[in-house]
Amino acid sequence: MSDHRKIVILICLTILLVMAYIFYQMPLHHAPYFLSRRLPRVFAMILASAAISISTGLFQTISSNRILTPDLLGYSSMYALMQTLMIFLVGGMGWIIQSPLVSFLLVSSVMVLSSMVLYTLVLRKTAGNMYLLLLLGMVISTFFRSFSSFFQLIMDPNEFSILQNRLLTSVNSANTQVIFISGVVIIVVLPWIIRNLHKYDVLLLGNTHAINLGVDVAKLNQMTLFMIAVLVSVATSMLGPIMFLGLLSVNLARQIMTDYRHKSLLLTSFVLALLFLVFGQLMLERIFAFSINLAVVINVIGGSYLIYLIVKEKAL
Amino acid sequence: MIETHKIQKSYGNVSVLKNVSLSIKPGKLTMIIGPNGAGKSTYLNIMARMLQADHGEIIIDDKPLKKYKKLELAKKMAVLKQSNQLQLRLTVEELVAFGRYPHSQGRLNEKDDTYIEEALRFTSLTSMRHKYLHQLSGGQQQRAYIAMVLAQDTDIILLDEPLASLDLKHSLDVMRLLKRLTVEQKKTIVIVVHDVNMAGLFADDIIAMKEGQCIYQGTVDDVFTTPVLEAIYDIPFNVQCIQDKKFCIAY
Repeated sequence: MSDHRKIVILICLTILLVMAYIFYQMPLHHAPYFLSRRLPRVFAMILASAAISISTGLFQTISSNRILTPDLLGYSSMYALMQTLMIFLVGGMGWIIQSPLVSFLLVSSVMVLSSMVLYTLVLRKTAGNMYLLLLLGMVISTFFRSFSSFFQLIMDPNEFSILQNRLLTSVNSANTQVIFISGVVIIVVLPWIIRNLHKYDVLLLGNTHAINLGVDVAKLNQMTLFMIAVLVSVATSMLGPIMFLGLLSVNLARQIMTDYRHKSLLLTSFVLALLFLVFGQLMLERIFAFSINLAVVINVIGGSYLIYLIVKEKAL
Repeated sequence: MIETHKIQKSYGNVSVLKNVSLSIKPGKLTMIIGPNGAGKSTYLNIMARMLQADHGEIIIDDKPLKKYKKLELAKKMAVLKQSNQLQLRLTVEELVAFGRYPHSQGRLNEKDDTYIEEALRFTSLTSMRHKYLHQLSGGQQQRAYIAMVLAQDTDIILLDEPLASLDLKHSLDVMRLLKRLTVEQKKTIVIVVHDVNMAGLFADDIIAMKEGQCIYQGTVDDVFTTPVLEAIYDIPFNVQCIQDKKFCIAY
C-alpha cells in the first residue's frame, strides 16, 4: 500500500472517530449544549496531538535517537512541582488555582522560560552536546519529583486531593480560553517549523553530513529546543502530563510510512496521536464511564507497544 | 585553493596541531600521510569546519573560512568522514539527492536531476540506484557517499580515510575514481590515508605529518626516499621502483 493511501485512510478513520465522539447520543433539541461541551474537548485534543507529536518527532531527530521523548528534559516533573508548589503556597481556594487561564499562563511561561535558560547555559558550556543536556534533564526531573513528593507529604489532605486531580491527564478540564491561547501559540510556532522541515531531513544523515551540506546544526538545535519547550509546555499545561503519546505516535508513524521525510512523518504521527487520543477518550467516557483516567488508557496501549519496540530493536 | 595559517589545536593539555601552515594545490590530488596520532584527521576536520581550531586561519579562494555563509561554503567544499553509519532506510538515489541540498534546499529541479544522474554514472551506481543502502557492500556504500559528495558539485573535496575498512580492490576503485575527478573535472581533493603506497600510486602532492606538524610536503619523487620515509615513521624502509612507480617496503 502506498504512503499516500495509508495517510488518507488514517485521516478518514480519525475524522470518523472525531465525528463519533461529537455526535454520539446527541439529542438534536439539546445540540447546542452538547456541542459546547464536546467541541472544546475536540479542539484541545487536536492541539495537544499536534504539539506532542511534532515536539517528539523533532526531539528524536535532533538527539538522533528514536526512543526518547522531550519529557526526559523534565517537563512533566516540572509541571507537577509547579502545581504542587502553587497549591501548597496559595492554598486550594486561591484565585490563581481557581482561574484556569491564570494558572495556565503562569505554568506554561515558567516552563518555557526555565527550560530556555537551562538549554542556553548547558549547550553553551558543553559546545552543543545533546547527551549532556539529556543527562542533566534526567537528574533535574528526579530532583523535581522528590521535591514535589516532599511537599505532597506535608500538604493538607484536602489540598492534596485538588492537586491529584490536577496531575491527571484529562481532556475534561480544558478551558475554552486556555484552548484558544494554546491554539494561537501553536499557529505562531508552526510556520517556522514547516519552513525548516527540509533541514531536519538533512539532519537525519547525522551531524557531520548536515554541516557538510550547509545546515547550521548548532543554531537549528537551539531553535528546535525552544520550539519544543513551547509546544510541550502548552500541551502539558492544557491536558496534564501526556508525553508518552508522542513516543507512541511518532514511532508508529515511522513503522507505517516508508517515506523518511519529516513532512509525512510528522503529519502521520499527528493523525495517529489524535486517533489515539479520541479513541482513548471515547473508551473512557462510553465504556469505562470515567472510572479510570485517560493516561491509563494511553499508557496501556503505548506501554505494550514500547516494550514490543525495544524487544524488536534488540533482535536486530 | 586552500591555505592554512598557523593552525593550532589542543585537546586538554595535549597539543595535537602545532602551527600547521600549508597551502593545498588547486586541481590536484593531495594525500596526507603520517603515523597514528600525527594530527592528520584533526587537520582535515579543521579545514572542513567540523572542528574549531584554537588559533590560526583557513583561507579558501582568498576568503577566510569564517566569512563564508554555511550554504555558500557547502557549494564550495564537500567533506566525507570515515564512518558513515546510518539508521535511516534510504535508497542510493535518495542519498545522492541529499548532495543537492545546498543548491536546492530539498526542492529538486531538472538541473539537480542531471547532477544526480551524472554522479551515479561516474560512480557506476546507476543500476543500483533503487537499492537500499544497508543492502549494499561496504565498498558500494562508500561509493554511494562519494556520489553524494559529487552531486554537491564543489571544487574542493576533503575525505577522511575513505579507504578504511575497504579491501584492496575497492580501495583501488575508489582511488581511481578520485584520480579521475582531479584529471577530468579539475577538482581539488585532499585525502587522509594510512597506506603509504596508495599515496605513492595516486598522489600529485603528499603532505607528511608527524607529532602535530607538517614535516614534509612534496611530490611522490620527493617523499619516496628512504631518509624521508624513515623520518616520518621511525622504522626502516626500502624504496623500490617497479614499472616506473615507486613503492616502499617496511618489512
